[in-house]
Amino acid sequence: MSRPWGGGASRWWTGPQTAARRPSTAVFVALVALLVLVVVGLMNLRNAALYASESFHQTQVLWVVIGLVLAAAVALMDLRLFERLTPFFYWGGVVLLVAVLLFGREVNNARRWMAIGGVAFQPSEFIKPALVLMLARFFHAERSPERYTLRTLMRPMGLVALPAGLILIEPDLGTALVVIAVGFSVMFFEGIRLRSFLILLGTILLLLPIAWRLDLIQPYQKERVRVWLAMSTTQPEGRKKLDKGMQPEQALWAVGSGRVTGKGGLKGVQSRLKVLPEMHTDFILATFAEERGFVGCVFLFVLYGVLFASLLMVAVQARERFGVLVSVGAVAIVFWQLVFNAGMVLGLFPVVGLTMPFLSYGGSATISSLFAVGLALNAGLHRGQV
Amino acid sequence: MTSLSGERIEYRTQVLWSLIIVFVVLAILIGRLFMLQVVRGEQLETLARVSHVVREPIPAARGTIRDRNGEILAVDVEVSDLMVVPRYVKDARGEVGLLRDLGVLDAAQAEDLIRRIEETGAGPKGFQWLLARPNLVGALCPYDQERMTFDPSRGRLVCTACGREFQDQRAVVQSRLHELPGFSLRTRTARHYPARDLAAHVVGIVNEVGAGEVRRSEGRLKPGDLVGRSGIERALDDALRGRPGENVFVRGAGGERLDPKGLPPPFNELESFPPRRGQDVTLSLDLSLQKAARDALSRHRSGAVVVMDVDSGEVLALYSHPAFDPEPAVLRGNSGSVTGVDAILSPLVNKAVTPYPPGSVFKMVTAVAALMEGQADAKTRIECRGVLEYKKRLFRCHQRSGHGEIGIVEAIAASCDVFFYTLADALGLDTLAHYARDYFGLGEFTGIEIPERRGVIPTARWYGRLGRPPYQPGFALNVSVGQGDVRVTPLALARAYAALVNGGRLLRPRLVRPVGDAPAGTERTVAPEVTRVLDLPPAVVRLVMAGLHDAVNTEEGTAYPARIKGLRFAGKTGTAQAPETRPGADEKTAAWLKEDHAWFVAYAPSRRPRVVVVVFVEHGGFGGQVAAPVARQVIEAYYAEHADEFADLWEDFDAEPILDIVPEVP
Repeated sequence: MSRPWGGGASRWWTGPQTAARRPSTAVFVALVALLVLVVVGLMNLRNAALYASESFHQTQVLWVVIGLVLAAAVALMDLRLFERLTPFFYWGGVVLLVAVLLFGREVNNARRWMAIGGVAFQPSEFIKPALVLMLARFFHAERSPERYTLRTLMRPMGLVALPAGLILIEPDLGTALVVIAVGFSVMFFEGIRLRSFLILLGTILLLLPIAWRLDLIQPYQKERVRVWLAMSTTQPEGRKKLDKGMQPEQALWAVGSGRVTGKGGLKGVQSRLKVLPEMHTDFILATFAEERGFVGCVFLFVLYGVLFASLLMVAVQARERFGVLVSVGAVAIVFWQLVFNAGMVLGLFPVVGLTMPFLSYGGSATISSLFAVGLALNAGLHRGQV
Repeated sequence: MTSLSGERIEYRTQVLWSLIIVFVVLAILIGRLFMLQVVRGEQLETLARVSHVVREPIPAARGTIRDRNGEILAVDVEVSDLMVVPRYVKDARGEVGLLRDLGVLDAAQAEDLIRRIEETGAGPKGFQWLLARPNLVGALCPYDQERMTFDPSRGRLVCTACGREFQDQRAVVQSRLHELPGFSLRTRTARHYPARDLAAHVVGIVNEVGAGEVRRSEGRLKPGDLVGRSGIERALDDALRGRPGENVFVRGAGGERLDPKGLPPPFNELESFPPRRGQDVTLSLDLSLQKAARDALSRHRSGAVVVMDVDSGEVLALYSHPAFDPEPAVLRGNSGSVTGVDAILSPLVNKAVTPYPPGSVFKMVTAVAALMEGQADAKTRIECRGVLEYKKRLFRCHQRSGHGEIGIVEAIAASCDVFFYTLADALGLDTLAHYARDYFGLGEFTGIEIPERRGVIPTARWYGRLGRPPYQPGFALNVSVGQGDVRVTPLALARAYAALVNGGRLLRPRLVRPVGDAPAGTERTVAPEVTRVLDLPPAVVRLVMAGLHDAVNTEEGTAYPARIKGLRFAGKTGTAQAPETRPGADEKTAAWLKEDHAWFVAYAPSRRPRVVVVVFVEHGGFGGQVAAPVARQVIEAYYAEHADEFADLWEDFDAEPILDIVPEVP
């Protein structure tokens, strides 16, 4: 017997696992895919570190361990706890985003980092799962039998727009895009009317050129778009860029020079010579693609595919709408992060400055990605609890 | 009541769509990877070998500047400097000792270098270049920068011009560089001015561009480029500089040099191109006349000489005294620099294009104005009693005893002030200014290529504004004899007198011969640039020219002592009161500054004139005594140089009466 959300609150905390409600195969598939990805990422980062004659891959092991422990904790915890704390997470995150604008450390003309008790972190990484929880809570409480329309979506859109706008001001275009994409994914999953969806999409596409004209887009972002446009054409303007501003183009060369089978470990020319800036963070895919080639890349993307598919399967095993939406949102976080990053490295988008999940170096990014996977797995581990 | 399974069913479509989206997006990414790695893989792999594009500028030689006879006035020379990076020096004493033994450094220089290497070697500047010894003796003689030839029998270089012998320091150092770790040779271009101070004001100087200029030039200039700062070097800078070439190649990821031709687009379209040499410039200047001007002025503290061809407007000499040495310090070497010039004499100011009060040389303008306006003619006689009382003010003649009753020709010759005061009263200030400016171009820019200043020709309206004193009628009298507020440049006077004697053509004085013209020797073939043609009736010109002739060639004339017998010249003296004070002047200088300016404007020969010579001696004293002899010396040099052309003139120069020599207005 099951009851609507909020019925048997006390039993959600300590319900025993029964044999019938053991984790499904999807959970194991997802776990295997995740662990393989993490190991591939660490190995790849070790090579990238050796190219740069540094040893940040050792630090990364620490981040991965912390991230996995956190993910396990989140996966095993009762979501009920999160549900209750959701407003605190979300509004706390918003407060942190405001605080980072006021007191944040300025790096490269952007205020993204904040230090609390000597530990630096990005509030924008924290807001992503918080937003997912907030949206899930909204849709759980306000569930409507009809498909949602623009009017009924006003509040969730506001919940997305608030942190997205604050992140844009930092400025961190990439993360803002991920936040918006995650918000849309959850709304889409909950069922948005096609017409409303198209109107929304059209409005955003219309706003882009206006934002460009009104200088709401930063000059350096415009420059990146120009570099990207020049890169994808053979116009003379593109050739003028030969001498400088070649980072995205060089990333393409590194990827392409991997050919079918790759150069092999520690043989990447572009990466070894540190020609590529950010090669162990945002552009880590270039290092991987150069060493492992097309075959390695297909393997990598299939792994991601398996992870996303299995996590989606796990998501709908949740016994409540809240759990489903949290899991789906968590998958969306990792998925869009990957898509925007890979699109940038492969020259499909202008440079937006995002890390690649499980492959890029960095504490905040690694922990946040693993945390998201933990959230997604939660649904599969609690499906049987009543 | 919604069941657990019901919830799952509710989301089935969404899961399906989500999976489709995930796999389509991942497929697009894999498709892109296929494009990059499989389809374009080979091309991109070639590009991946590229690290960056290197563009090495190849400097363009600056154009050479020559005088009309082909004498070099400014030319690029290569200079080799011995450089050292202190931190790379293994054994400072040993290496510097070797350089001393090789004859590159003397004992004092060696000690100084060891000290500098040891001082900076340990410090933060240890990896920066240090100039060990500038301008090693190489292909050019250190004394005159002339070519040297190698004499194998003695193993030494011999200067083709002065015959001095030198050791080839550059070659010696080059061959021993392997024993001199840390040392290296650097070649750079320096601008050499063989004529030194002789044409410094005309030719001007160059120096390195500043950072701000490089920014403003939008890529036209690069750090280290030389740009003209004054004179012709500045006026024709763009033509002289040429265009640097560019050596383009691609640096590979391993630091190796890749040929762009073997790379895929766009690299295979990169092209190197050679530098384009700056244009050579030939000046109208005649270095021997320039030298005559310098020699003639050398007795005086300060002054200027301008020699201009009356038919073409070509400036044959333009010398400002004292001059400065434009040679860059590194090239001066041991050849004795022109130093010790008193800054109070403004050696950097080109006095030939600086306005001064002209004194009586202005009377030519007053005479022409009076004759044109009908206030005087050949029969006019005015009595000079040495002073003229005008509105209760006394205007004195320079000859206190007076000139008696004289006509206009004698008045010009004897420079009678009272005569011209009287005419000026009738003419008025504005009429005088009209003739000075609108006819003879005084107070206007002459249009010469080098930077010049404009004089002042005051009018009634000119006064009373901008803090100037209010106009008074007596000002016309002052102006008529070149006093008061009139200021003209020697060059403008040359142009004005040339217009008087060449048939009324006011010319633009020119220093640069047309581009592409080979040195034209002493030919007078250049077509003049006429600013305007003056409507001067021959009768007027004859009267004034007669006066100018008599000023030099009759006993009553103010310049009689400076006359040349035979091939006579004519002219007008000027003595302008211009007492001044300058900061920092000692007693002797202060006394000098109280003296009058001495002027002489001559044309020669007095019949069918070919050149105008303007002499200005700053605070020199009487024009007839001081400036006229300078002009005479310059004219003699001109005659000597053109002796063959004047041969027939010498025969019967006096046969024709002076007043019949006026050329017709074309």
